[in-house]
Amino acid sequence: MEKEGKKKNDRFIIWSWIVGLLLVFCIIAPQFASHDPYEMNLLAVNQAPSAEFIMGTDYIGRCILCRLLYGAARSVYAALFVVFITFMIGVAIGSVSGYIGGTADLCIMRFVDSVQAFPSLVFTISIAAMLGGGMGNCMIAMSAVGWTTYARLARSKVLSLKERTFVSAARVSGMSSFQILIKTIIPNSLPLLIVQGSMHIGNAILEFAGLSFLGLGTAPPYPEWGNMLNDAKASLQTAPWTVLFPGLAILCVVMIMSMFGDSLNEVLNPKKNTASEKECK
Amino acid sequence: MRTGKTRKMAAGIVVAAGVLAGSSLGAVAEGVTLTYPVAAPNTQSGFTTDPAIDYAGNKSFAMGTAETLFVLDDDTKEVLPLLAASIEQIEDLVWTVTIRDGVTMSNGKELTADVCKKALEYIFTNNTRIGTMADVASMEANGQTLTIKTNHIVALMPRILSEPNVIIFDTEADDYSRGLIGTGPYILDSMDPEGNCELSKNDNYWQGTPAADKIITKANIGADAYTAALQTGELDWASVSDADLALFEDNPDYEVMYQNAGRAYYLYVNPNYTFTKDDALREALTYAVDREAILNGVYGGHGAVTRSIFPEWSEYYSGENLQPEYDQEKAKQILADAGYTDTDGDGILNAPDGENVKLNITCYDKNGFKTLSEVLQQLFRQIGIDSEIKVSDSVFDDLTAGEYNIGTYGYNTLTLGDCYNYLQPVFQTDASSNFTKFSNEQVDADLAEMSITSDTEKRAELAKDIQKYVYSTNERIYIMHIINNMVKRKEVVNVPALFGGDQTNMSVLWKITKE
Repeated sequence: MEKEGKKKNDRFIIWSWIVGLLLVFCIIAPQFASHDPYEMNLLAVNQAPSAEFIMGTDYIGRCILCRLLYGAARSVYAALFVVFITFMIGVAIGSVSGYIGGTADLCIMRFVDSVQAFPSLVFTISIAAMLGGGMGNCMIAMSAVGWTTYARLARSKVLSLKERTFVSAARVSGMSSFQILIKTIIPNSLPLLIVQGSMHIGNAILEFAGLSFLGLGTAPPYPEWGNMLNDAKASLQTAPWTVLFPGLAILCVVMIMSMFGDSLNEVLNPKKNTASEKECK
Repeated sequence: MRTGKTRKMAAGIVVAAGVLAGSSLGAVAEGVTLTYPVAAPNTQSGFTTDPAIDYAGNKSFAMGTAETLFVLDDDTKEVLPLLAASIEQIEDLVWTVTIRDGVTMSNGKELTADVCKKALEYIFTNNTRIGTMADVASMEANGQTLTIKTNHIVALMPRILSEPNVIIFDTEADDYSRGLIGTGPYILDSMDPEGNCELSKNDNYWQGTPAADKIITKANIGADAYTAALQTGELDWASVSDADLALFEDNPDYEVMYQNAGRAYYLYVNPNYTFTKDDALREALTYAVDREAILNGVYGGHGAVTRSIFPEWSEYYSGENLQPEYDQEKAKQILADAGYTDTDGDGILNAPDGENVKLNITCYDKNGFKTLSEVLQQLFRQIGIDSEIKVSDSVFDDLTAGEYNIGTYGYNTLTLGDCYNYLQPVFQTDASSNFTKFSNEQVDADLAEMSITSDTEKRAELAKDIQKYVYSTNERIYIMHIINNMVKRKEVVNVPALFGGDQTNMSVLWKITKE
């Protein structure tokens, strides 16, 4: 049992390192670029990978590798920012709603229901299109839809915690409702919510890439992985490397974030995982 | 015993041969089916063949259910008779059209001047675009003679009647949008909700028996998917993107055909909005556009660079009046002379008033316009001008609203084989596509004269005169004239070399079949 726990901890540490390295790499990646990612060369359009252009060139002769390196921070950090914002908004609203209960809780949760009633991607696309596209508007659209999951989760956790003895004790000791929420309830809800957040990162990267693929994301000429896929789709058959490398970059990052989320889940919710493993057996 | 076995074997062979022969005969009976795309017209109404709506009339012509009175020769753009035998301008405002004898519609009804009159009345009344062009006051039908009276002199009447949207159909049939009946070689059997149609041949077609037995038109395949559909055999012919032509050019299973087109890709440079109000900046931009690089890099060389409204092969081309050639140094010099300097050292020029120059480029995300805009963004950057790209689904509305510096645009400069349908809306004061609010008295006078002049030489002279005045303002930068392509499967035969593209003459459809 202990061995299993240590194994899980090791796994978490390894994935944390990988994620940490990835996040640092995204920031310093432009240093490794051998070409200007914005410099077009119309005499070298859609060139296959070569010694000069390791991942080939795109539809106006720009170095794909350099654009991937420059686009890394934009693609990954935009998703992280969205997860952070949705997390904060969702946890705040869900916790307050669950704690105060009554009519306010009913109203907030029905609003959450109504937001969640729409397919999330379609709703996000509609909002982004309405706002007029662009990176900032995409992030607003994703945040406007994404917070509801955290709100629902935070509320359910608060409902289960607020009747516990340590909360009653805090109340008896004269703490205000705000203090009780901040100092006792939310800290005890965090493990579950953080796991949810870590698992959301991969989805957010995909969603952001999806919006960019639909032309709603980053404006040209700035590189972003989803945008690069969108721009390359016309050359899918004649220059497949233009699609392959941005696609692989997205795949790798999403996989890393998902594995990190899983390992974090194993560490923070060991009971739940053990129970589900037993059920499987 | 052996003989019995042999007999049984022989009988078996005969039966098997019979089955095979039967199946083979079945295949023959199925006949030739042609499958090609006929996209929904540019409308919110979904797929419709109702000629009252936008460009829906030409869908019937494309499918082979209806035809026009005249067609344009693909090569010379001359007006040729089709359902009509001839046309004559008997007075300034009066035209007589003689309808061909012996033509019947697919429901057996004889084609008379009265049938034509009712169809034309419907189109001229309900389709504003065509109605405005024709400006018909009244029509009279007498036997096979149709008399058309116009409100003003309409020199282009024969060309208007050869517009693929000006089809002749039976107005007494019930449903024009899904069951239009005309004189064409094929009869519409069914149309699904997406607009995919099945048609069978019209055995009583007036030009002869149609070569194919069945036609299937596809409206649910987007233009992006034409390449894949050609490769899988779902389509027999289609026009593909320039980037995909390489997949077919050396493939023995396909044939690629090209057609010079009058469609120009060009830029509107707005003299009424922010930085491009400055004449010097507009002039510099004209020198900064590297047409050769754009043609080869963005459009794979499938076109012809131009510094003129009209292609060189057209009679309206004027070699004496052209826009300047690409010269980046000259562009920089013009800006420097006009007081543009990089005062803050950020690589972007500051206007004489000190503000960083930033233009907006509005474009559609189709026909390579987004890529073209990205290339322009880099070319302008090379002379120190920053820009941002706005991809829009409604460029026409955006340009009409006037809040743009540069608009990328495509327009057929030789609609109906003539220059007037481009020059009038684009250069006449306050006309519909005059997005830069260009206004010149001489140009307006030339256009007014052109509208009432039938003489082709005089029209060419007027077109050349107009070109003397329109380039100097640098409000439009002409980049290239495109070359249309059509990829067909090798087994499809009797397709004329120029089949496909704008203003297609579909009167040849009845001859197309498969080997």
